[in-house]
Parts: sequence; structure tokens; C-alpha cells
Amino acid sequence: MMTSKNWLGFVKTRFNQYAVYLFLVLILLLAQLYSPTYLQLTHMMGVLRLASFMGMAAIGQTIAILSGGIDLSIPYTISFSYILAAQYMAKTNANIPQAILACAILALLVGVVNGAGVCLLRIPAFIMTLGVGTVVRGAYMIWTKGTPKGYTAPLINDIANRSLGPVPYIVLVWLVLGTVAMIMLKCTPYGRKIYAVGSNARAARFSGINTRAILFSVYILSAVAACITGFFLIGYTGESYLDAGSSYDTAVIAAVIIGGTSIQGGKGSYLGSAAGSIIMVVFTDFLQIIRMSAGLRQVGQGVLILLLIMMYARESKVRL
Amino acid sequence: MPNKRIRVPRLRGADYTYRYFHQWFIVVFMVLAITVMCLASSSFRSAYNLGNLMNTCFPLILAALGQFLVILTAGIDLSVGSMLTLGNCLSVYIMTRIPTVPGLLLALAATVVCGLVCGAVNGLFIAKFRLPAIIVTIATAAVFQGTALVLLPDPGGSIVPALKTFLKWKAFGLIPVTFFLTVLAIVLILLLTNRTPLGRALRAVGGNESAAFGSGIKVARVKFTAYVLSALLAALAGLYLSARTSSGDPNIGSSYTIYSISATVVGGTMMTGAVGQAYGTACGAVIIFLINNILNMLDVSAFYQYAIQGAVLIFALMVGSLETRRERA
Amino acid sequence: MSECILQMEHITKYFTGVTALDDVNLSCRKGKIHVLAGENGAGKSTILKILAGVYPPDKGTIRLRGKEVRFSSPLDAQKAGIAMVFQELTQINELTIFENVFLGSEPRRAGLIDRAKQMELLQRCMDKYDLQLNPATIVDRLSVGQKQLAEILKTLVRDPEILILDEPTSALTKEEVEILFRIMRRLADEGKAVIFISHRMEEMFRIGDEVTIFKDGQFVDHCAVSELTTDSLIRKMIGRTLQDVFPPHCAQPGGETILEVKGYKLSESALPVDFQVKKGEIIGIAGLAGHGQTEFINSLSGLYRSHGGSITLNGRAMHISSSSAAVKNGIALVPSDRKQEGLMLFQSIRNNIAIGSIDRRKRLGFLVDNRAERKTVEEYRQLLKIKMAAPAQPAVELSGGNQQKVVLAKELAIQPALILFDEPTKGIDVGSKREFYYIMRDLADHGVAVILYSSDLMEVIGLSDKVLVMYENNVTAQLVGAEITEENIMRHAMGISKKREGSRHAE
Repeated sequence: MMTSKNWLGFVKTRFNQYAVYLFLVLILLLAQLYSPTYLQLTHMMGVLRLASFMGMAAIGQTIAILSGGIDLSIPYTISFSYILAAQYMAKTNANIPQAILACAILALLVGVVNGAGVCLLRIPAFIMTLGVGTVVRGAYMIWTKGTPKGYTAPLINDIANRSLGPVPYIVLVWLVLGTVAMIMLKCTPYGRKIYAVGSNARAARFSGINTRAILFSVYILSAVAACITGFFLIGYTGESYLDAGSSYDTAVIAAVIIGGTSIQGGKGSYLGSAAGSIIMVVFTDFLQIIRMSAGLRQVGQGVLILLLIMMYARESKVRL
Repeated sequence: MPNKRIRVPRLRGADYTYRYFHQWFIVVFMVLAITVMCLASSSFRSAYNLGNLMNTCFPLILAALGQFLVILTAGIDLSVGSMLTLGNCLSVYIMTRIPTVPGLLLALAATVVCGLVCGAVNGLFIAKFRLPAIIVTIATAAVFQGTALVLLPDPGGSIVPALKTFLKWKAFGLIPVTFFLTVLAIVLILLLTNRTPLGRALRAVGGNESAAFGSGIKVARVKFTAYVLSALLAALAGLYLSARTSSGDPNIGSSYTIYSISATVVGGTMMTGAVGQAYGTACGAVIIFLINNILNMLDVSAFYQYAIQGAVLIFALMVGSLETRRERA
Repeated sequence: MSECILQMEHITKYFTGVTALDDVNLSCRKGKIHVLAGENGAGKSTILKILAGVYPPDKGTIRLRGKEVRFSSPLDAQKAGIAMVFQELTQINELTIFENVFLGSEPRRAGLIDRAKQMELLQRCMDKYDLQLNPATIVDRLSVGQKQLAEILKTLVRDPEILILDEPTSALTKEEVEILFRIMRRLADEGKAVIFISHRMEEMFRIGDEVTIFKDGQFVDHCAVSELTTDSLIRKMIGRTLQDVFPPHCAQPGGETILEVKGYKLSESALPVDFQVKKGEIIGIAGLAGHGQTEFINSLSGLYRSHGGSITLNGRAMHISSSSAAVKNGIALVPSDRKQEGLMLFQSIRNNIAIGSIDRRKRLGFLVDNRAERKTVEEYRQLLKIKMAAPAQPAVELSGGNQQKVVLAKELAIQPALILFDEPTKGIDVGSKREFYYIMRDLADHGVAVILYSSDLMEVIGLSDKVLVMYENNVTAQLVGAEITEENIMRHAMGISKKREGSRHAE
């Protein structure tokens, strides 16, 4: 039954889901206006290349937010895995397996500690992950003694920088990972349970879902996604340096919000976050094109997030 | 009716422990730590170093006190560090361009106004529009930090000498003015949280928001005030830092957010709000500083600071979580 | 002849689909302690909430000392001198009694709280009513009873004209009850009015001066307590007509035992419970609201820890330690609060129905089998006659009855051997209620053990083949067949020792 009151609600719910695509089109047009070659294929592929990294990081954040939490340790995990990958690859393809192993161990450690704090100790997710993130930062500072060494292996460098025809390899990697994430979230029982826990953890428990196990695994997945991002990021830049992941904190959250995933959890999709990642890359790019200073760019990002939550988060003021 | 002398009730026994155990523990721990340090290291106990301790702790104590007020309401302010940076850069910006006493006064006024306005922005989004505090303050942190960068893209600038002179003054040549300022700040916040209706309301909102609302407390107004005060204190801390370093630095506040939260949690305030004391938070701040100080003196690289401070925060959170479990049992 | 301090006349109140109050009257005379009596759902809480300003009456007038009043909010009613002590406490646990008592309206001096003045007022109040609590105690550390007394103290300091108490003695010890009665008597002596809801006979007769009895939202009688006896009071409260049509009871009693519960204890100090559910039987749990029924049901479904005892379902002994263990063992629960505990309101109906049994329909071992899911959802839509626009519709948009059906569908989809219902038809229209009854009977006939708790006594009587009556967190009686009468159940539910035949304990 669609009364006139429901119609507005109908638009509002649909808004969250589809607005991101509208914004994507708008911002691309806007960029095109300023820089007439923006929409050219080669340029867009470059944009997509950058968006791949943000998109991979967004996989973890999307899952964490969908489950009703948040992961603020992602930028630090990215930085550390970046350093580890560079160090263990040391310019040699044969070392890739050991680099992967190192990153996997990092992902497991970070994920387990985050999960333990949030699930077992009931510490609010944001502060737990923030604390863990700080420890991770300290850890890689100590690990590298301030001067990270290492270099990407040629294969990873190629993946991050070369293309298959017009399409960069890294975009294909993102495509695969993103598809896996989307299938996992939308098509598996596990994914359904994540949505359930994010929607109403109490009802999920009453329905027989092991909420503790779900939450624990969510933070492990988030750390894994962050490590994958760092691993390929070193391929892109080549040389190792500190704090490589620092630009992936607010921007990734913004990408997830703009993609329509609700901050309260239980609603959203990775497809939206993927589109949101592209938007954020274009947005940051755009701010540089119009020659905004670094400071103003940061202000812009902050204002963007504020506008976004005003638009997106106002709708679920539930009156039970 | 018999003429009974009315005595204000004092907490005793288990009630006293419930509220003050953690506070006492922290105060004693801090005193012990300082004592041990003084005994163990001659360089530590030099008057210079102790005065330095006070001077360096002061901004952190201010920032932590502001965060404390917000966490009391079961909220969180992740923009503290950026607000401090903005206070620092704004004041230096003005003082560099107007290097006279009127310039100093203008910088003072501007910093205060800036703190109030920024806090009001936080308060508006969180208290009025009821948006989640985590995201709002992450966003405003970016806005404040960015503004600071715009004002002062690189470290530098200068301050009005009069400010420095004031802050260098020492009572008896020994006790720096910051000591008195610290005591003043702690006493004010202590009075606020324990003796005023607002303070009672802050704790009530953190403890049980609907019960507070049912008692007639204007919850939105209370939360709004908490965020305004937090920003104000952070801005003042930034102003102080500009005096101390005689310059501005757009990176100065980066670790203050997490340190302010750590100080508050270490000082005995739970993330769930309602409990905690101002002096506990201040001692927590001192302990945080001491950890860094000790690491410096042991010639441990600065990198360990991050890891250890993060571990301290997690440890304090763990203790807090277990404490609440125990009480609910 | 003392004057009427309060007159509520022709009060009518509708909620969606239900008439909670139908042209009822309530009047209190000065200096009298007034009891409101009636079964669950009679409308007692509703009329008191109207008086306390929680919601307005749809019809009728309220007169306070002769003057007509209209309240638009609880704060309004408070200003007029009406104070209600609710079941949900408004205390801040981390603060002391002293700090809670004047919360929101502390006496001030120069901007600070005037603690001396506050203590003076508090002490005066405590002396007046002989309610000596230690004001320096932190509320979190108090027992439930003491918290309740602190809550009452909070209302007393505001010097109310009318004090309303909703089942105040449920958590109090005997000494605390004495204190409460002294307070009430003192208030009455001062010329204030006290209204309280109670279900404990001896209390009503001890402290009450007058009683108003409601039944099914209608006014039955108003008389002096001295004019009544236990029997006559009960008789006035009961005797509701069986308005709803219930399906027939178990056709073949004495079938195989599906569920056997032995020595089950809800808490350390509880009495052990033994009971059996045979094929075709519906077991009803009855008793006054808040006597442990929800905890009992929740512990059978793994959400609440039990303290000993065994459960044997279809011959398999099981140990239920969590809700997921319960589901795996074929135990389903339809919880009492469908919005907070049963549904994911903003998810689709389809997701809601599917989530309980999501692991059972898999394709390729790890994917959700969408086709099977759609089939299941459609199956239950037809079976339960769920009225929806489409399976993709968000659950929040459905009516109460249909929402409850969605929850039921979710639970049925796990194909349970035991299904527990906690207030299954609360807030549901009559038509859906009837459908639920027939569904429950059908389930029982097919060999599913059905246990339900409802605060609606007629529902329990209409549906159940066996009734477990709970009083003070214990199962105090098991009634079978002809023993299941309103009177029998009410007696056990109110803790009256049985004088006649008609109540058996465990065989």
C-alpha cells in the first residue's frame, strides 16, 4: 500500500541505494567540464587504477560497517603490509610467496586482536580499532627503524602499472576481489548473517545466529582486505616508505557512506562502495585540478562527509 | 523537630570504592612513577626537567579534560587534535601579522571564538541532528586540520613576545605558571562535573539518556555544551603551544586526539560515560606523558612511543571493560 | 464523607484494532488508598498511564479536585501533582541516591548545586515517611527492591498530590513492603490519594481502603475493601466470555512423549520443574506478568542460562547452551517483542523469513539457494496467509499480525521439534489471532511440541491442554483438562494456597 506518506519514504530508501550512481555521473561531468580530456579512455583507466586501491580497502570497511561496527585501523594495516611486502619481495619475483605469507600473518594478527576486543571484551569498535591502529603504526615504525627498505617485485609492479589492452591489470584484480566480496555478501549464508547482525544483533541472536563468531570474522576479513591493498600498492609506487596508507582513512569511509551503506549497519552493498571509491578518487583528483591547496582539499573532504551523512543518515530515524 | 545538623552525605565503603578506586589508583600510580623516576635519574629530577614536565603536560591535560567532558556523556570527540592544531595555527597566523599586544589580544579572542564555533558545529550535528559522533568528529577533524593547513601551510610564524614572557614566569623562580593554570583547570572542571547541575546532567546523559530525558534534563543542550567545551579547551591548548614553541605547526596536534582519549580512559572514565573525575583524567595525561618521557630518557627510539601508547590505550580499555563486568555480576 | 480528589469519567481509549478502555470510571477519595484490580489486559496500566499524562484519553474527562484537567505530557501531569512510579526505573545507575533524587531540578545556590539544602529536603522527606535509605549509596549497588524504594523516594520529594504505583511490591522484601505500606498510609493520612495496582490478595486486603475492578477494559465495580472477600473479589475479576473461537483441544491424549523436562531449575534457588509434552498437546504457561515466564521460555531456547535439569526432545537428550545450539537441535522461539527481538525491520520479508534457516538451503555448498528460498518463502506465505505486497517489501511496513506471521514463518522454516511462543498474539488483530490459534493446533497435531506463554489468560485456557502456572519464578502448579479454569489459575497465580481440589503438582 503506497500512501503519499509512504511515497516519500520510498524515494528516501531508494535514494540511499542509487544516489551514488547519480553522484558518480555528476562528478564525472563536472570533471569533464573543467578538464575536457577527463573522460577519455586512457585517462579514465588511470582513474580506475587509482580507484582500485581505494576499492580494495573499501571491501574491508564495507563489511565492518555492514556488521554494525567500523574499522579505523585500516590505514595503518595498509601501511604495514605495504612495508612488509616491499621488504620481503626485495625486487625478486621468487620472493612473492614469502611476502604474501608475511602479509597474511599481519592480517591475522590485526584481525584477531580487533575481533577479540570488539566481541569478547565488548569494547566499542571505533576505539578498539583506533587503538590497534596506533599499535600497528608503532610496530611498523619499530620494524623499519624509521627507514623502510625494500622494493616491489617486478611482477607486482607490472600488475599495478601495466594493462591488458586498455584495462589495467590492477583493475582486473579489483574486479575479481570486488566480485568475490559482492557474492559473499549477497549470495552466501555468511553474508546474510553479517547483514542480520548489523540490522539487529539482538534479533540475529534470537534467530540462532552465532553473532560472536560473525563479528570476529568480520574484523579478520577487514584486515585481510587492507593487507591486500598494501601488497599491491607497493607494486604501484615501487619504493617503500612510511605511512603509505594514511590517505585511506577518511576517504574510504566517505566512499562507503556515499555508496549507500548505512552507518548503523545492516544496509548497503559493496557495489555502492565501489562506485563510491571511484567518486572519491575523482573528487580528490578534481580538487587538485581546480588547484585547491592541500589544506582546502582536506576541508573539502570533511565537508563532503558531513553533507553525506546529513543526506544519508537522516532517513533511518526509526520510530518504533 | 530536633535541630539536626544537616550533613551532606559522603560515600563510604563499597560505594566509595566503586567511584574512587580507579582514581586513587591512578593518582598513587602517578606519584609513585614520578618518585621512582626522580630517584632513578638525576636528570629527571632537575628543576628544569620537572618544570618542563609541567609545561609539556599542560596542553595534553587541557585537551584530555575536554575529551573527558564529552566522554562523560557517552560521546566521543575525534576532532580534539585537529582543533588544537587549528588553535595553534590561527593564533600564530594573527600574531605573525600583528606582532603587538593588540595582536596578542586579538589572537586570544580569535582562538576562543574559534573553539566555540567549532565546538558548536560538532554540537549541532551530533546533539541537534543526532548524527553519529564518530563520523561527525572524523569529518570535522578533517575540516579543522585542513583550515589549519590553509592558514599555515608550513611550520613557522612568530608570536608576540608578551605572551612568552607571561608563560615563562615562575613563582619563587621554581614553579611555572602552567602549574597554577593546570590546577585552576582541574579545579574548574572538577567543580563543573561534581557540583553544578550541568555536571550532574552530563553524567546523567551518559549513564542513561532516556532516564535523564525523563527527569526533565535537556539532553541536546547538555551534549552540545560538552562538545563546545571540548573544542574550547583544545583550542586553548593549541594557543598555549604556540607560546611554548614560539611558532605554529600544522602537524602539532596529530597525536593529541588519541592521547586525550587514552588519558581519559586511563584516568578511570569508561567509554560508556557517567563515571570519572577530572583529576583522574589529569593524572592519566601525566602518565601518558611520563611514558613518553621515560622512553626518551632510555634512549628508546620515538617509534616505540606509538606502539606503547596504543598498547596502553587498549590495556586501559580492557581494564575498564573487565571492571564493568565485575560490577554488573 | 471525604471529597473526591480525582474523578475520571467515561474514559475510553483505543489502540490500533483494540479498545483498551471502554467507558470506564475511576474515582479516588481523599485520604483513601485505592487499589486497581483486574486480570492481565483489563486496562489497569492503561488508565493509570492516561492519568500520568503518558497518553490522552480518546473520550472522557479527568477532574482534579473538581477542576477539569488535560495533560499533554508526563511533565504536565507532574506539575499538577501526579506522580507515577513505573516499572522501568528512571535512576542513573552510576550516581548515588542523593544525586538521583533531585535530578533535573536540583536546588541551587550561586550556580552550584546547594547540597546542604538538597540534603535537608531529602532528610525531611525520609523522616516524614520513615523511609531511611543511605543517600550516599550508588544505585548500581542496590538490590532491585532498594532501587524501587529509591525511585519512590524520588517522587516523594516532589510532594505529589496523587501517587500512582504499578505493582510496586513485586521486587520488595517483606521489610521493604512494610516500609512502602507505611509510606502509603502516611500519604493517605495527609489527605493525598494513593492508587496502586496489585495482584497480591493479602496486600490488597491489608492496605487497600477502596477497590476498583476492571475486566476486559470495562468497569466492573467500585467498592470498599471491607465489603469484599477473596472469593467475591476473584469472581468479579474473572468470568470473561470466551469471545475468541478456539480450535478443539488435543484429540488424542496420551500419545508418545515428545518433550521431557526433568529437574529443570531457572535459578539456584528455584524449585525444580518436571513436565512432559505428549504428541498433540499444547502446553500453556500462565501467571501474572513478570513472574519468570519469559525467562523460562528464553532458557528453554538457549538465550538464558538454566541451573540444572535435563531436556529430552524426541528421545534425544540435549544441552542447550546458546541460541544457535537450540536451532540446530530443532528448538524454535517466537519472542515477545517482535520489533526488537524477532525482526530485522528494514530488511525484506524474504530475508527475515529465510535468516533462521539460512544454512539449510545451499547450492554448491556455499551459496544461498535463491530458488529454494523463494519457494520456502512462498510456501509459508500461503500456509500462514501472510498479507504482503511482495517478498521484497521491508518488514516494517507490515501490520502487527503479519509481522508476527513473518517471525513465525522464520521459526517454522527451521522445521522445529519444539516451538516456544512468548506472547504470540500481543498487539494483533482478532482475525490474525484466530489464525494463529489454528496454526498452533495444527503444529501440535503434527507432533511438534508447542509451549506458549500469554498474559491473556483466556488465550491460555482456550488453547492449552496442560497449564503450568508460574508464581515468583517458580512453576507452582500443573493443571490438566477440567482443572484448567480461570479461577484455579488465578488462585495459583496470586499465590493463594489451594483450599479445594483442582491443582496437582508433578506426578
